[in-house]
Amino acid sequence: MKGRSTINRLLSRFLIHFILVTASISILFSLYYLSINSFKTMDEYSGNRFGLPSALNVSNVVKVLTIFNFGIYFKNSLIISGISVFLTVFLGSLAAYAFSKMNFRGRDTIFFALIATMLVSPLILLIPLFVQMRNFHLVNTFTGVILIYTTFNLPLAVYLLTKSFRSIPNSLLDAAKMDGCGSLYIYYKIILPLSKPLLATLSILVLLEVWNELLIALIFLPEEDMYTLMIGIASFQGKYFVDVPLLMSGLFLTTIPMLTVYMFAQRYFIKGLFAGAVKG
Amino acid sequence: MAKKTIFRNISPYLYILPVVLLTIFIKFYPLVDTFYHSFTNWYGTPVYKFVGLENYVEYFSSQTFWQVLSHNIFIIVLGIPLNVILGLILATLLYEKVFAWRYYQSIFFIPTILSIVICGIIWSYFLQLDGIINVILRLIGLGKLTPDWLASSRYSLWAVLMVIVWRDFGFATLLFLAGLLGADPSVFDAARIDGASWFQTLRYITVPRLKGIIEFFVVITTWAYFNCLFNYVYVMTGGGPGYATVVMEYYIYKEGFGFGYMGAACALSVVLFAITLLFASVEIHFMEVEI
Repeated sequence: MKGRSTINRLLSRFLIHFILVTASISILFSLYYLSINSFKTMDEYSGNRFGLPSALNVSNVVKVLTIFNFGIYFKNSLIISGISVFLTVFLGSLAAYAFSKMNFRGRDTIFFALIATMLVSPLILLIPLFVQMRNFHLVNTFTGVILIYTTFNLPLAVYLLTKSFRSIPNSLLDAAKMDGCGSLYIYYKIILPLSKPLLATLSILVLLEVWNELLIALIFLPEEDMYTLMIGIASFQGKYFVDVPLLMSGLFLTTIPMLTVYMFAQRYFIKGLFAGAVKG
Repeated sequence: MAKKTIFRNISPYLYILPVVLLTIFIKFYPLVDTFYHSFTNWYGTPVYKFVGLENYVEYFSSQTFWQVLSHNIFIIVLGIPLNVILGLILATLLYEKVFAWRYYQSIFFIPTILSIVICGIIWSYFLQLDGIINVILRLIGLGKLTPDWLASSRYSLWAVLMVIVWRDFGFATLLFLAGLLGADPSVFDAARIDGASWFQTLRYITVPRLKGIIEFFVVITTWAYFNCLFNYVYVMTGGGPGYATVVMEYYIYKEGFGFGYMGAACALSVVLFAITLLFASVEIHFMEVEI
């Protein structure tokens, strides 16, 4: 009996692994395909599509970075994403502080209305928004897209931060107030330090959203020297889809930043999502 | 003394002011504007005239509109159950905490963090006539089913669906696994002692436990499959052969920025917004009724 159940256990473990590996294969293969073909020449690729490259040919990667301006696109994405993330988290946390710890007329209504705007996607507003931005001379500027990204990510930020700030004990705040601290000081010295994990997770979530965004960037940054990495790779595909290794190099370079951030931030990220999901 | 009181009463509003201002400026005003222009024949110029419900009538009586809408419904009706099933299966398997389960979870989640643009481009290569998918299909003897997937008017939407699910199942898995990990394990132990089969455990314990999370996933994914498919279509098919893979968002983009029918595109946007609201309300209603 004991022997039999051990074999059963081993078999079921094996089966589980088999299924999990099968599910992983398509993902891992995509990354593999991307990487190996970035380092081949077109001729080599035609003859050998799925095997390893015979030599590490970095010419395509270099070309993409320099001639094809991916260095510039990367810089643009970095600036736009960085500022958007900062603004979203900063303004969102200020608002969340007020929603969670202060009493004022209309608080719950405004909060609800803000969260409800999550239903509106940028696409629905795209045309009038474009005209409005144009009237304010914000088209083809970083400022325009940064404002748009921030606005669309704020509801989620405010929601998560308010939920989290509410759990900070009021006694801490009262003690500080009794010592004569102003509300901003409390925000800076108590609320923020206590919320570091959530702030980190939120930053990564917003970063992900903004970095990977295409439509808004496409419409509001029409000039090539303002392109983000996403626009760059999308238009790159349109022009150079014949030279596969070149395109793969572009994709490879575009993937690396996000994957790197993901590797490092994984622990925070997954823990953060777990916490949110479990508490419902 | 009076100055301090006023400051204390005003300052909450100052904290929320930037957020409120931005939202009004970038969301509310354009929303009203969209709604207004949907009743005009605006072509993007300052000159246009009011045409009432003409845009709406034209779309509702056009075959293309319903065809496009059916594409979104197709993705939702097939994609969401697929994601939920895959997510449940994988989450329960990972919950067994076999060796390296955390690594598997990390791998599953990778497509979700990759931008849709990248996923789309990679898969448009895999789905070529001589791409890896067809190579595998031929190898296992399904040589007859190897079209140029994204260029086939019959199969392109299926291919797009597959890529969407490929990207989202990791997210579902993560959500469900989180739910399982947060729940009390003693029920599962009890089930195991009582000799429940894997499927029985799944059906009578796991799914009821995860009901809230599954419903949450269904609601947000429905929203996403009405409002976040643009990138897939733009990068993989440009609408597909003809209008085979045009979804509502892409239709709005095509009508507004492609043909310049801005007023009409606004009407489409309003319709999309209304449909999204409708589906969300219906789904949330069902969720409440269950409780």
